[in-house]
Amino acid sequence: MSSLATASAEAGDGGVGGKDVAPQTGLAAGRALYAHAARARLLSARMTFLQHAGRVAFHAACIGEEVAIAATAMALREGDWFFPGHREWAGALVRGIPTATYAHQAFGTAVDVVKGHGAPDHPASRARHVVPASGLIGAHLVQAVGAAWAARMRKDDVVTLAMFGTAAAATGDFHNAVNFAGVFKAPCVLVSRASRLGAKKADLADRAAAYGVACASVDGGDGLAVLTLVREAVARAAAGKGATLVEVATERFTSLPDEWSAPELLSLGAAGADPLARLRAALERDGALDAAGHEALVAELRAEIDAAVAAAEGAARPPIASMFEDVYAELPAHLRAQAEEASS
Amino acid sequence: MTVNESKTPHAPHASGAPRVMNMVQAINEALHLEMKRDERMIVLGEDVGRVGGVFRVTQGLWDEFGDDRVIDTPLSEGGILGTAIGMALYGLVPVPEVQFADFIFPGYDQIVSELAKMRWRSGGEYSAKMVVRTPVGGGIRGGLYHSQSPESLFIHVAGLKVVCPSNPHDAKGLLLAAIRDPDPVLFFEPKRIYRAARGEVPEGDYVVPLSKAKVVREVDAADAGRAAVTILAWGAMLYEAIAAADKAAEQGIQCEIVDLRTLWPVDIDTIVASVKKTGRVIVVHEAPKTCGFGAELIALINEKCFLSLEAPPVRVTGFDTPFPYTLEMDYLPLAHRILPAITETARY
Repeated sequence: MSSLATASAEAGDGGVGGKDVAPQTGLAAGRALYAHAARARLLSARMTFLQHAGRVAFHAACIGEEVAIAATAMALREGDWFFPGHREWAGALVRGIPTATYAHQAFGTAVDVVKGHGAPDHPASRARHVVPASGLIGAHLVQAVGAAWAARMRKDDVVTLAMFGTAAAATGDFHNAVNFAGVFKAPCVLVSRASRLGAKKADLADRAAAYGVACASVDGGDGLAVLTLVREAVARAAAGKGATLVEVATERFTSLPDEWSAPELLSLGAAGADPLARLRAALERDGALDAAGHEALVAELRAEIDAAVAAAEGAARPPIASMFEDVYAELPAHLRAQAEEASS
Repeated sequence: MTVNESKTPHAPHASGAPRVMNMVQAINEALHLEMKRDERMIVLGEDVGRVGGVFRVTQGLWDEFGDDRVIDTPLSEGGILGTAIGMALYGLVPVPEVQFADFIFPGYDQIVSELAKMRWRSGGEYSAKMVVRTPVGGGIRGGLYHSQSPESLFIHVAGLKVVCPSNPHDAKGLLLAAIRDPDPVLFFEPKRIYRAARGEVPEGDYVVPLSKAKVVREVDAADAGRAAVTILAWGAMLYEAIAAADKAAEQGIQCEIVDLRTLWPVDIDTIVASVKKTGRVIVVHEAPKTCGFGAELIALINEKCFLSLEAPPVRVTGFDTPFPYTLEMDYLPLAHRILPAITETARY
């Protein structure tokens, strides 16, 4: 793990000043992170089973990476903007999109905010500043830089954060993003999940340095460390010190229990390998979570997910006319004719 | 070169004399006006600031509005358009310039996959309204990478609007309308007539509404019974259509000429009304013939007024080759190629 202070100093901006650093993470933050990550774990497992059963067409599973994703999203402040990739949908939930809203989007129902236009795991919320993921890997990175740049122009105290899998670091959009972020000192944070399942190690620090952007890495198995580091990067951006590239080393579990409701779902792999179990152990050690509290939390999350999936699966599909909505702000004549044809 | 057939009423100049401008000046004036009116508007692109753009269309903006609103970017269309989308999501009104339409393709993915679909994929939660300005077309000895007309590649993409003015009055009014439009607009500026097309331009604020074509030469109803032909054109080729129509008139053939102005969504009602009157139609465009916008226009005409046609619709276009350097005047659908199409169609 390289510290952001070191990386920041190397980038020549004098490091992160004490007043710019976000408050230390406390037990309350740890408990909140565990709840967000456990929800993501249970929901991703449920969605995986629904996909295998053909009940949803697609799911971008994040099992094993949800602690890192949730911690990253938690590091943003109220009013900051979140640009997830499709596998970081769990971050959108952390930013305030309800599980029920996520489920309606995944099933593309009549009450889906995006009207069934998008594949599962692409939720959107203007109010929460969650920009819907693109189907194109890396395309959102340069947009996050543009939005950050706009915030700086407007003199708003707003930071943007984009997440991506390390494979996206091979795209032209990644290089455009880091280049423009470096040139214009955009207040943004680009967070890479460096999954061992992903592409060959990308040496992002070298690339960031080439563009004059700070870079730091952190063990994605340590949720509180991710939260601390990304908060520092957000504070650094907010302080006008420019963009930071954060590498979070993660590992995705692809071998799941036979039932999504199995208790071992919350402690996968070898002892100490599961970031979620690791966080729970740390909280138990500190007295922030006990067995009864954990049981109650998991029961509550399972009920929330059950209700959300049942409501979404039982909901009507969007009316045909909705296909023609939002192509343009107003329906032009040719689309009005096609909408009538499709509905007849 | 002036559009002296324009029936648009012009506001008098402060001194009472008409203000005559070229396209570059008119577009520049529109950018100035809107940047003053709307503090959210910014201009970005390669050399748009200090230099004022490769064709000097943004000249003076940097002096007036500064680094924050007139931004010289790195040379990367994907970066320019991608960051502009982020700015638009945030609430600014970016007007990026792509130095030549030929260079737009490194940013094509951001336009097609992101800009065009942002409103739709977010269910209306977000939009990315902006105007992408870019010079288009041949006839300036630009060779194959400074001459192309890629409009149909954008018309085909749901969610985009496409505009191509032919004269200074329309360029100013259409640009102001495009910047205020809630949807993303590709604003193609015909570079061959940037300085050659001159005309009266009203002072101050006015818009030319999008999706309204203009009949720049009308066939009298009394003449419509005789051989008359509708010509659909836009941008620099409008003047070729006018020149060919002048020659055809010497042979007793009347032409009704429609300047589409907005290519998409197209003003099909004006087109159909004209074709119903003349029964004959020619589409002129610089872009290659196959799957060019002419193909769509003729399909629409067939769908909407097939029984009014007296002759097969005709396309006079660029050829299905890359744009040539030496032989560009043989490639372009100039008046000498339009005239035979008029006479053959009229005598069909």
